[in-house]
Amino acid sequence: MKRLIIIVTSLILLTVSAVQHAGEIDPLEVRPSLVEPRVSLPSNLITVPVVSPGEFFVPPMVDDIPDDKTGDMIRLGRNIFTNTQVYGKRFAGNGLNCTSCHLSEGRQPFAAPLWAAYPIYPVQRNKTKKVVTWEERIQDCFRYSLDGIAPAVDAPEMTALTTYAKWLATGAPVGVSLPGRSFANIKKTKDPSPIDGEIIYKAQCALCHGKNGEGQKNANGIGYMFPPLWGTDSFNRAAGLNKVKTAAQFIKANMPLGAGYTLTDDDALDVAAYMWINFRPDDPRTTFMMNRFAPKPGGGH
Amino acid sequence: MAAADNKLIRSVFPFLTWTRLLDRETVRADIMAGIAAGVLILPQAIALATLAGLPPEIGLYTAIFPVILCAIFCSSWHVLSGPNTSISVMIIMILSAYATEGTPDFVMYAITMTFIAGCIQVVFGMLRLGGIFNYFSHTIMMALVIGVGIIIIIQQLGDFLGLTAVSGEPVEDTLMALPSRLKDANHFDVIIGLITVGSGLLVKRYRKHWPYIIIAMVAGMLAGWLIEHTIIGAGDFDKLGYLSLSALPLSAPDFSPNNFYEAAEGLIMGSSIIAFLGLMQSAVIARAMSVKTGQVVDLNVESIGQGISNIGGSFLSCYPSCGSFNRSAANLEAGGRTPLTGLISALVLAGLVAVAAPVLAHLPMSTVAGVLLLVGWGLIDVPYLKKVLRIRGETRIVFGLTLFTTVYGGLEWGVMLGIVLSIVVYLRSVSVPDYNILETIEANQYLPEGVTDDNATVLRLSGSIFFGSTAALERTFTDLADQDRRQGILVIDGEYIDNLDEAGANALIAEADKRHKAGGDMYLWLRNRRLDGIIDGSGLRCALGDGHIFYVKTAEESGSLPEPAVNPD
Repeated sequence: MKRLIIIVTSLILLTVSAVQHAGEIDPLEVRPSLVEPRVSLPSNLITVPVVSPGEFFVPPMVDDIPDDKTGDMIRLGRNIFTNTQVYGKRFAGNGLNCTSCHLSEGRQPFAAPLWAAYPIYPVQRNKTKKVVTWEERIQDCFRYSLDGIAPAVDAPEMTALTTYAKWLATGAPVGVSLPGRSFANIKKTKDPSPIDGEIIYKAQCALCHGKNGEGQKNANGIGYMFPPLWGTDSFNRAAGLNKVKTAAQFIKANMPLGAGYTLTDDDALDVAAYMWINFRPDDPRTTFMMNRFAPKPGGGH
Repeated sequence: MAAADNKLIRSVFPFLTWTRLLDRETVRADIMAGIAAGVLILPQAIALATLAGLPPEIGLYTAIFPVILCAIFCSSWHVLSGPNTSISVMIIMILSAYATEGTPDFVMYAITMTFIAGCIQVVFGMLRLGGIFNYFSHTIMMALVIGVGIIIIIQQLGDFLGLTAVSGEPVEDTLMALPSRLKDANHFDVIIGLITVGSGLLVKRYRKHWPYIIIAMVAGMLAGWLIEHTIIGAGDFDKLGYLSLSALPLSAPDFSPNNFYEAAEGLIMGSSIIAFLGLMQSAVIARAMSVKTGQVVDLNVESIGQGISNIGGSFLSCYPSCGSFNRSAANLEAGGRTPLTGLISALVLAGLVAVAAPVLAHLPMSTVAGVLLLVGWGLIDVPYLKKVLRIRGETRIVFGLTLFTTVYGGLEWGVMLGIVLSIVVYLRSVSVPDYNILETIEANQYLPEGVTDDNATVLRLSGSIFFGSTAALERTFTDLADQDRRQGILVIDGEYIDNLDEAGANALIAEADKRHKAGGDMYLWLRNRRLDGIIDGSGLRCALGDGHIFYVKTAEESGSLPEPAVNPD
């Protein structure tokens, strides 16, 4: 009880100081961030990054989309991004949208935000050991995370998504790894246990994502409100989130939705391990037989 | 069926003439032909839409809805319409200047063009101008078609090799860049493409009656599937993607200021050329079909029918369509008898697409390119090319010029040059009236009493004596008088003069005056009294003098008797 009072008090104090801090910045320069400032609680179990307004890059607002052909392309890209099941159906093989992982229309820090990713490319990727361009990176998203067909680098969907990402990164420095890029950092203190993960999953995740990770469809039956975490309608074995570590980094900062940083690093790893041991579609990089008999990718660290 | 006997109603609703022919046997033959046509159009529908820079769905819609409309409103019973090679090339050439291929803007412009082209075609038909397509030079049309074939082949090399081609770049740039890019080609794309093209060509060579394009597509798909699932790291070739089809894909042409005005010039020019190309091909097909089947095709009704199918198509997400020669010929061969075939083929295609969509999603793009290479190669008529290049003179020059312009300058310029060249060639051929000097017995029958063949020349003129041909006519007369020393009496056999206008009559009057002054005389033979109006009106009768004009037929005969079977040579 005493501890709760301390937490609440410090929360109020910090919020007040944050508001005061925000007041010092020219109001015209400040746009509302989707990220609420969070407090740092000194605990050996839970670490939360200190975030103050202005720490993360703030992408432009939807109303700022210009009213010309470029704007049309940005809007198309945004539609494909947020409603892939309708606008990007040609290349999507499962039930996910881009926003299933890139939360808040690709704006959420530590959920692989587009504004941080776009200025980085072309860059060498660990996954392929090659220098890949932005378009090639998007192709991999479609091939693995959307378990579908890669759009050609000159496909209209590709142009639209690139334009949208470029617009989100308006004003971001090129080639700089911005804070909030990709996923949060975590440290593991024990080997992840899918058995512990299942307990956490049933307690905290199953409410939205379903007991069997099947997710929850939208009311109109097109696409998911809460994406499926495994099964035939989820990302395949080659996707980044099929790596236990990457999935744990995502979970740590963003899950449960709206209550990120409430799981410990090890809890996040446990849940990720539980997700990993379940069935998902084949790795398209390799053959049918290799998918049956070779070890599942993504289990390492 | 009293209504069906009314000519006006028949020409507005041509289907009234064939619906009563439907009996059990005809319906069965039509259903069989329709199934074949519906299956065969599938690869082309996808490939041509890709060629036009449009999503494959648009190609499929275009192979369904305009076919239905054309079956109802077109005049020919065997023409199957649908997506077309030249029109697809035209669409991408015009629209790539205004929008990125495949985007909603691009589709919107294509649909607007469908609407405009349809309107132009309807107006053409209503003004009864359909017949003018008979005057379009066949040589030039072949040059355009062969040019389109070459453009398609060059354009598809990028997809074929798994490389990204710059759309709309000049063909010579593509060809120049090709050798240096060959090393970057995606091997699996090339293998799949080669399997597609190779199987297609083999089937075409050794099994003439098999549908080689669909076999090539299936072979390419199987090759892609096998390679993807058996070779590690081979899964990164481009594929068609999942189709999202709708049973009623409503759309509308967009004339809003934002979208239309900035592209108006290109859209209107492109639509006119597309309307022209569509009608030209429909006319050729209709003519070829009526030779084979004996059905007389009214080109005006055909034009209105094509127009209606395009206007209707523009509200159903279709890009411009026209009659397809290959499909129509295949339809005839498959035993189709009435336009019911078109209706059946549309339904079959719709059903096929609905069933096969998940499989089609994995259709490799190099197979689509391979199909287009086969289609393009099919357009290049090598025997005709050899034949036309052997002919010296005008034909070869006209052919070469149109082909060169089409390939290097773009199809729109090829068409415009073709129209101009057609007119020039036509004028050149009619502006030189055919003449020859008759001798001995042939000549004697035209000599009036008291004139002998010693001092008289009998000249047979035929064709049109009009303002365009007076220069050539005067030159002929001068040559006759000065070089050949035939200055005395001139007898003109004008039996085969089709047409005489005031300028032509004046040229004859001038010659008569010249002869009279030099002491000679001039006589004129005509077939009948058809040209009397202009002869009296221009004063030719006075200039020649009384009794100098003869008629082959007497007044009572002319007009009442059939034409005598006289061979002019």
